[in-house]
Amino acid sequence: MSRRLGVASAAMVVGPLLVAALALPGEADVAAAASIAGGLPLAWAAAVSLAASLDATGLAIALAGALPFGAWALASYAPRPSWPDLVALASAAVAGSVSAFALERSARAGHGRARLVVPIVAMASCAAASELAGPWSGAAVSSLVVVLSSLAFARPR
Amino acid sequence: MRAVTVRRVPACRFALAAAAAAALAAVPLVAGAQSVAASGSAAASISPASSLPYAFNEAVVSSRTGLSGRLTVYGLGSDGERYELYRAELGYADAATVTFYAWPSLEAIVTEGLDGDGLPFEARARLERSGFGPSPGAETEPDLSTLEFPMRGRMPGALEADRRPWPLALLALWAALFSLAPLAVLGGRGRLGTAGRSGRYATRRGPAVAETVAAVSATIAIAVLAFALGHARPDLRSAPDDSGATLLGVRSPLEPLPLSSFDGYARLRFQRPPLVIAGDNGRPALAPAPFQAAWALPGRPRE
Repeated sequence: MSRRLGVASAAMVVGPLLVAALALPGEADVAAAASIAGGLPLAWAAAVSLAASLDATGLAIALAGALPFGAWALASYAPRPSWPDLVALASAAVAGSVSAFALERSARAGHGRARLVVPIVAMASCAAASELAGPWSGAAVSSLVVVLSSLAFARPR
Repeated sequence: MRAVTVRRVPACRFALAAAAAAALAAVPLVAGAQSVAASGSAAASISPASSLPYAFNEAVVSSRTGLSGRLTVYGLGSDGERYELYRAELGYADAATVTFYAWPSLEAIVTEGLDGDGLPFEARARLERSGFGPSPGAETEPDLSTLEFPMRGRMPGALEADRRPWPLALLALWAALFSLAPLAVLGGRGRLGTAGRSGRYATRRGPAVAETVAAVSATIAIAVLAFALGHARPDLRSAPDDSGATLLGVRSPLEPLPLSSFDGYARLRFQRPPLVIAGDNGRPALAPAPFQAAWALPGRPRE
């Protein structure tokens, strides 16, 4: 049984992220990897979605809520942060959301939390590709995930 | 007699073949070694223009056939340690002026790179010790080598970076709006995300699409703004000390810090030798590195 995003879940997504942003120093002594700095807020949103058994819409909204925090963390803590890094981060979130919608439509997607595992893994893969091969490569992998998910989404049931 | 001859001939042939094979295998090794040695010893050189301690100095690296690819300069300390002091990527250049940090126990600098033909070279230069003596007028200055660096947690507060309020205010506003949005949606038409799906909301597909587009646009705008406002610039902060020296906090973990930031200091003693790279427009800059402190003597750099 999956649920939509409510007030409590929304506050659970952004509340801890805001507290962390306020508690962390304005600038770190050492740089963090771009996928870690930008990806942690998205990972938190994904974890909350899993814990709350949200549906695809809920996951997409949760990721959207965490995206500004990821962008801020990317700019503040990643070495040589650039716009392609932000594009890669946003495209990973989009890939996770679109694949969640596609799986939700699929009859074989499973139920409840299991339905979110594959989109989250896909999103993590996009972030990993971005870290290993550069932000444009990560964005390309995300685009591939979005295209494949869209094809599955468009296929008649 | 014949039996002995028959046995010896294959043995001689085998020995001859083995010797020829060994000689053939050794040819590239010997040739390569000669090539590198000739390139390193005769074709390339590094000439320090100055060797002031606790200061940034310059040296000229040149090669008969030019320079290409990555150029690196290492420093050899009296403790036997090897420090990377300069790094640059060259397309092609006849010669390169490199900037390196020197300290009293730095004995020699070594450069490694590729010449114009793509062959590796190595050249080294010993630093003149005369430049490390006290300079005129320096008797009243504090001795930088005796000053101790405070532990990271006990650095003066002036060295800590300012908190930038605008990105935090933006994130707080976003968090508030995001948390309250489901309430507004519930008040309007039930739970968030139900528009355009079924029942009476199916007739409101147009407005629902418009709301989705607006929400996505707002998310992108806030993310872009948070990214732009959150961008951390390299920073050099100072805290004057009772000794007459100044304690600097060199904070450039994300971006290179131009060496021109140190123009107001005559002497600099870093916690660890910093790496200089060719920054924007080819101007020397400190490579992105973890926070470190430096003791500095205010004034103009002395020659």
